[in-house]
Amino acid sequence: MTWEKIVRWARQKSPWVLHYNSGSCNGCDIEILDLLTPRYDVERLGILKQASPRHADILLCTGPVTRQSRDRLRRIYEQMPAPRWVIAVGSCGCSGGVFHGAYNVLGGIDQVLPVDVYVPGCPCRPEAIVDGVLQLLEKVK
Amino acid sequence: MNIDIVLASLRQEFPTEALPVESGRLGETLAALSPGCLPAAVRLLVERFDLRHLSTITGQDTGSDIELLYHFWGGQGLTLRTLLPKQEARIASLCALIPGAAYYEREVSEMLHVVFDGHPDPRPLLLAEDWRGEAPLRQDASLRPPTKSDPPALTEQLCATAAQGRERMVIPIGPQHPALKEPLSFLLTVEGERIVDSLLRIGYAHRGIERLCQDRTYVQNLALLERICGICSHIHTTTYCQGVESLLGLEAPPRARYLRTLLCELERIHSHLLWLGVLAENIGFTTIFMYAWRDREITLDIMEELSGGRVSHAANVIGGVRTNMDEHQVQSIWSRLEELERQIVKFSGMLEHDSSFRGRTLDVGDLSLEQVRRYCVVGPMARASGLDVDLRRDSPYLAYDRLLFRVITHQEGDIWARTLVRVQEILESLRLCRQVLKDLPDGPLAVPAPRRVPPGEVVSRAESPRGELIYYIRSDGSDKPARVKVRTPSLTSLITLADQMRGINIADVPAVISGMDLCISCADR
Repeated sequence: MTWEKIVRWARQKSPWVLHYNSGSCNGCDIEILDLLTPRYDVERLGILKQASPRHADILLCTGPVTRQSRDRLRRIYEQMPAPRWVIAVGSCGCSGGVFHGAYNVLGGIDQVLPVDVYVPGCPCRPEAIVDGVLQLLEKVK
Repeated sequence: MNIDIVLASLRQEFPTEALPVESGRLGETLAALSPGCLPAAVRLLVERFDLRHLSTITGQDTGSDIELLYHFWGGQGLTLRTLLPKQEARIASLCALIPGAAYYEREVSEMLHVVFDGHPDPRPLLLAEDWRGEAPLRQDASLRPPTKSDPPALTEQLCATAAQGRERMVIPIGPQHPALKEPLSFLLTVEGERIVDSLLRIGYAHRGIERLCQDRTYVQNLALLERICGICSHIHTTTYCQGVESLLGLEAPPRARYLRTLLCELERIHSHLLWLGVLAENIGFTTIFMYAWRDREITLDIMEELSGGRVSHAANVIGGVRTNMDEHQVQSIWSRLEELERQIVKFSGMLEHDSSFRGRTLDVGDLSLEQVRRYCVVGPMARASGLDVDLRRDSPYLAYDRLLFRVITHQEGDIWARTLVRVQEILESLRLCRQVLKDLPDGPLAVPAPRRVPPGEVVSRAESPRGELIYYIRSDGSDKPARVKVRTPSLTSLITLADQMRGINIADVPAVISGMDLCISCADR
């Protein structure tokens, strides 16, 4: 087994995620937190929520990007070690959603960061978020 | 408080003022004053009548002038309104009389370019640091959304200025941080382990919903306002519908009022359990976090069954509700609520007898009754400090006048008391849910509502899980509102943060932040 292979295997089995709310209504955020709790319990899939960007592989980002959080979002992404992936969670994260056209809203996450997986839904169900993470893992295999 | 006596003494005090008084909808009294008299009138209200609860200040651009509305509450709503010229909009600040007015004034100031003379801290509240120029709520604002190529914001210029003494250090926290799921940032000035000062920055989740409301129809706004907050989404649309229905002269049918009440109470249970979990997680009590969130799923399941959505329900329409339930569902909900009650009684016993939980929450984040009144704090935060307020009892709306419940108060004002208040409120809410299920009247779910709303204005209040929620809605006769102002209860809690933080240990910061049950997306809008 080559070193490369071991690293890829480890990444597959322990995707550590970071959550950032760039202006969301909280709906998707509590569903993300819900993933850690007994009904969904994503730790059984190796998914662990991290507090620091420096420990994370995947950025789970909710909400439209507001003017105030735009640069913070960029900076958090830059603090994550490569390889790193971004999942836009919720309709606002995908496109700006219901807030499209507001004076303080730039649009979806992809206006600022390269997004790998879009999880639509307003708010998206916890199952959909798990599915999003698993699809990402499939993609990076 | 007797409004007539208050108005009579205002007339006596200001004989030169015409003081036109109008009995508004939903029991609100509106009186107009000139801007010069307003601070003196407020002084009279505070000093003679102890009317110190300023719910919020609404500012609006009427076309020719800037109008400010000061909404007071003392068992009854009293709104003082004044007109300022558009070119030179300035008025004296009320912060010295009512410290809780500070955030409201900052918001009006940035949104409408009104100068509040004598404001102790006139920084912008919600708008971004790189926001230049226009006042978003003035009618002539062009308000283009930001673009990708906008220059980067000047985020941290504050860090350098805050640390002055040699022994002091400044710790920036946020907007991405483990204690809260939501973006807000602090600068904590510490001496050793002790916090001597804190500076708060919100606005990371400011989307500009109030302005967006003016561009959308009343029906479209239901979907938008529900997304002010994902935790208390139903109460937002309920308060909004209550206001619009009163402008239309409609009343939701009894069955709709009961169903709305049921969803409001389920939402309160879900919100309190969510809060309890977050608090427990932040002080390291993961077991309670897991228990609370596991049992919260019961209420989410019920709400999903009723409306189709776990978090955003879209249950309200103007004129009623669009969800219904049959006898079978009533039975099934009843039995699940009993299960939930058993669980809550079990783990609230665990909480009360756990010495480390007590140790982390007793005498932490103290707020006295006097502080709570000075800052116009509402909801469980106020009730935990001994202020006996609850709009469900004081100004019954929906079906609350026909239901029995206790208003829970405690005197201590620390996180421990807030926990007790909220856990006991969950039990009261369960009691309310059972009464609704038992007495649910038959009949239609909604009355037809026209798309156009006749001209008028309304102040609509309701008790959300975090306290008094207030909407001001003005209609100009079209199918779009001319102004929707929302003041959420979290904004009143945020203003107390500096007082709660002062002097505490740095290890208590997560407990203090999560003990308040902040909802930043509510506060930022």
